[in-house]
Amino acid sequence: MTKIKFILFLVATVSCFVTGAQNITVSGYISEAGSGERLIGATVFVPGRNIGTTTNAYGFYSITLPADTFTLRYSYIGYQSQVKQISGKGSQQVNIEMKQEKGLEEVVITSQKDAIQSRTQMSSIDLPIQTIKSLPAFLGEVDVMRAIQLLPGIQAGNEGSTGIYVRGGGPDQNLILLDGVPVYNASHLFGFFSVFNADAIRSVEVIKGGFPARYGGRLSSVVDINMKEGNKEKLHGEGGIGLIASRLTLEGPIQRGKSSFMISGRRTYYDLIAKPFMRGAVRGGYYFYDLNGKANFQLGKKDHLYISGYFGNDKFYARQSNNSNGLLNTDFRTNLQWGNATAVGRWNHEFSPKLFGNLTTYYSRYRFMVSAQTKNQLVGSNEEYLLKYSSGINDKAVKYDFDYLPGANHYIKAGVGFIAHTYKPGAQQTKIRSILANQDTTIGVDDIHANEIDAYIEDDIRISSRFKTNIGLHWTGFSVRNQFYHSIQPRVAARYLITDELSAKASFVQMNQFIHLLTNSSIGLPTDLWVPVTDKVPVQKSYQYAAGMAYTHRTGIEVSVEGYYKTMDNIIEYKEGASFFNTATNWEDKIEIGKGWSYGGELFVQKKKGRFTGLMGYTLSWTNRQFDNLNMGKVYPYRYDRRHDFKIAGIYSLTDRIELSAEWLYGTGNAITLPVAYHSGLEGDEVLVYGERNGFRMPSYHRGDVSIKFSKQKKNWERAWVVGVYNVYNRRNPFYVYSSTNSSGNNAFKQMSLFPIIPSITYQFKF
Amino acid sequence: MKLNIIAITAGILLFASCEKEITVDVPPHEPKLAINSVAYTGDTISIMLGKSVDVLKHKYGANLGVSNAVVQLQAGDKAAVTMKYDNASGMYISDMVAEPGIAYSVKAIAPGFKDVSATTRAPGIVKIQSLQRIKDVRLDIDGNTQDELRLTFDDPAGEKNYYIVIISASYMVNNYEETAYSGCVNTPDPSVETLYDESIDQNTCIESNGIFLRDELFDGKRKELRLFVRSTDLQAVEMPGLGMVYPTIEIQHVTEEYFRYIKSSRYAAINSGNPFAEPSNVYTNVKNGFGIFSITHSEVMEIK
Repeated sequence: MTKIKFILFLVATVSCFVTGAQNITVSGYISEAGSGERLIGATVFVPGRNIGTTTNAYGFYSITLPADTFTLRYSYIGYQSQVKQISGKGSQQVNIEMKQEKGLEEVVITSQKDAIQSRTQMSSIDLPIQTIKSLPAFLGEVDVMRAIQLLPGIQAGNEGSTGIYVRGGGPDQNLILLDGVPVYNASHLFGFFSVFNADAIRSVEVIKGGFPARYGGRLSSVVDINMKEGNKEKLHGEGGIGLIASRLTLEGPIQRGKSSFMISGRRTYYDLIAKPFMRGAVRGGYYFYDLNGKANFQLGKKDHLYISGYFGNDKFYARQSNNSNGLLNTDFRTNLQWGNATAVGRWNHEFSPKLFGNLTTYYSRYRFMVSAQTKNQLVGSNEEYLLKYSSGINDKAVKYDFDYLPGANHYIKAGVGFIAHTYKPGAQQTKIRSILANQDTTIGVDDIHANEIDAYIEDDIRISSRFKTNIGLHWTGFSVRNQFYHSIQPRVAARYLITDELSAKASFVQMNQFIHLLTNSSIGLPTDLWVPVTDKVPVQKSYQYAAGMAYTHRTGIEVSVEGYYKTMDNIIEYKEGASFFNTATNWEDKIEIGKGWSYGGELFVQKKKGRFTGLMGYTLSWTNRQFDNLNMGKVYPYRYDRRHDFKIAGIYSLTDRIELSAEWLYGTGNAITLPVAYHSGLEGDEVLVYGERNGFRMPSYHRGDVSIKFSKQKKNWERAWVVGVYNVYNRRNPFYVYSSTNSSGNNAFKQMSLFPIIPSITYQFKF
Repeated sequence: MKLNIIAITAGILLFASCEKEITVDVPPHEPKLAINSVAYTGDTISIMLGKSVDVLKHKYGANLGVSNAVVQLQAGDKAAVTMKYDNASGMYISDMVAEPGIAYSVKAIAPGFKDVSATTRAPGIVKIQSLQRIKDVRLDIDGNTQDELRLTFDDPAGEKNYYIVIISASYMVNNYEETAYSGCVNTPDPSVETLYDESIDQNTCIESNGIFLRDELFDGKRKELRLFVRSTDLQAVEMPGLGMVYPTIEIQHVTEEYFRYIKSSRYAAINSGNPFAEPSNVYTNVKNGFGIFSITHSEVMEIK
């Protein structure tokens, strides 16, 4: 294995220096005409030579060819293609501004990088933000994570949850990045909404396997979300007023053509609506909000600075006040709040037409806090009692990434990074102020500090006009509690173009994960706790093998079929009987360590252009777990082992002003543990006997949603009404199942469902 | 963290729409016998024999006892005796006295059920060597004054030993004596474990009705267990006709089987009805059936 790793490394390194003489290098940036927003993944192609490249995350491209006269074709789906004649020697900078296509094509602006069969990368899907916005929305709130759940190989957890389970992996195994910054808890309202405001998002890419070496730290998926940069030419805005929340986004130039800003906010208003109706001594409410901001500055021809941030919070609160004849005033307050904050600065520098660098420094914080406070005011004395519990995680990081394009046959990416993690597994504060006592005590596990360093190198190698590979290595070192863990993770992907429309792909990746999420709720509870590996809790590892075919029909319909096999070692589960509440202390003692594996096949069909667009995904999969101390050591199905998972979604533009959309989802019921019997106990009591762990199935899940959008172009702005119905045929899907007595007094299994048919209406505007 | 649970549950209920009865493909449960017996050394051994019933056929409060079985009890190599069913108590009784260090086995045969059996070895006698109470030694996390109890006993060498320490106090309710447990006990002792086998510190709340220890760290040695108990929980009570009634400390020398049974039984009870906790089964040492067959040695001392 070491030899293989060495050979791979050698190939990748040597390839850096393979360049031809008498070449011409064309480089530059591709951006959207009218806004100056850089386009990620736009294609630069040399017709007739089957050579091309794509823009990186900052819109930069570079292509080096033997000195000659040739044509470059610039394309990006949803935008008008452009052609440039290139001749001469040396380096040339060609910046391109691409115009959006007119008419109905504009409705389906997509961010597809290049034809699906051409990419070396497999198991990856770019989800056009416009598709996400056009799909039926739960309670009228467009949700990025909910749209991601429509993709094959990606499953939702429970009813209503925005959490994702990718190819048999757990909820902790997804690296969710917002402008390159990890977001640790991407949920609002116990997982019913995600923290990503679609109006502030520019692109979404999901990778389920065949991970390039630049990604690391999680076993199962990467969800790479980028915020809008902001319009560099003129002020624009968009927003929406919905049943539960409203949002507003503004973007515009700071200095025309050189710098821009984007700011976006969203807030729910259940608390504000309910407030006038609350009478009496008890008051309470709930709200969440998000605030996204971004600014970017062109610092010269070769430098660009991006600053962005996100801040979001959820808060439940309740207050009760009593006044007993003016003698005793009692004030009781309780709060439950949690939220993420991220801040990132990125500085691009173009060292040469072939070498692009990016320095990133970021901060990411998740915190959870619950508190209860009682104040008693007696005649002549005051008493105060406070109980507060808090937990969370902080990251501070710096990294440098290079893109090096020595020739048309290589695209090398390399980088190094450092992250300082601070884990706060939980602390409880008790404060008492009274005549009898005056104390302020904090107990709990001390903060755990860990340092993570990583380095990677990958090369997308064009071996022939039909055969491409992406070979890379990712190294991670993790230091915690005087222990140092490290791993070298090889990544290999290959693509063979059978015809111009059809390719075969295969990949192998090893992924390591140095953090764990303590959860068994599956609904994205704010109490879910991130903890590092320790001497008791080892590093999670996975190996994933995947193979498949990708095809693009001349009508633009893309089809991919993939099979995968994934193993996961050192995954954790709570011990039998352990509850995930009160995770403040001794979490290492509450868990079991075991392994899991998943295999299956996925079919994905997507149509991106035309009046009708849509996608269809089907997954056939098996996912199992085995822990020595759970289920008597026997293999059992994972809770989200889902034999069949089918999703279909379509968007139809009836006219320029009316758009219909619908989706339907079906999934095999979740695996659950159920009681099978009672027996008499030691105290004459009755003891419940459970069957095999996850040995039973909930009823299957299926749901249909529809929506219709009526748009109207006004003089200087556009408005739209979106009417939607979630769960249109009122399917009662299971949230959880339990045994209880029915109306006849007999025992029966009952299911709790959450969401019946829910209509919604949203008003949207854009200027 | 009750507050936490309540707030989260309330949040979820905001969105809760309905429940309905469903059919789950659960194969019919084959009824099994359940043996339940934990005798104290020095007492005669009796057994409560019950049965299991399919969860969907179960009626709350239904009699799960089995009275038509043949139950045989055997001590060591001696001949097995057939236990007699006692209608009054609903138990199978014997004249066999549980003796420390002796192995016992029981077998039950009943029509319609698979035969069940269980074996156990009565733990040896472990006497309390001393009990010292030091008053007002520290404050607990809530600012209450605590007394320290120092309980000393000798652990038998060369074997795995399990102990459960219980602190209880008495009080009067309507002229009747009631026993109550003291609530939280703190201890820095690394041999003490919680229900979930968590490591503990001096602020961890250990319920006084089950302070669990195993002798891995003090095998064959004299053990001094230091416990901190709220001073108010250790007050003696004047009771009519009984005089001064003092709180007690009990040390139970138990079998590994009972130790595992009682812990699993308690956390199953705690998580009962919690849809988010992972369900768990109660431990059994009964072959082909359910329940617990064990013997315990107990020593009790007043806390003065």
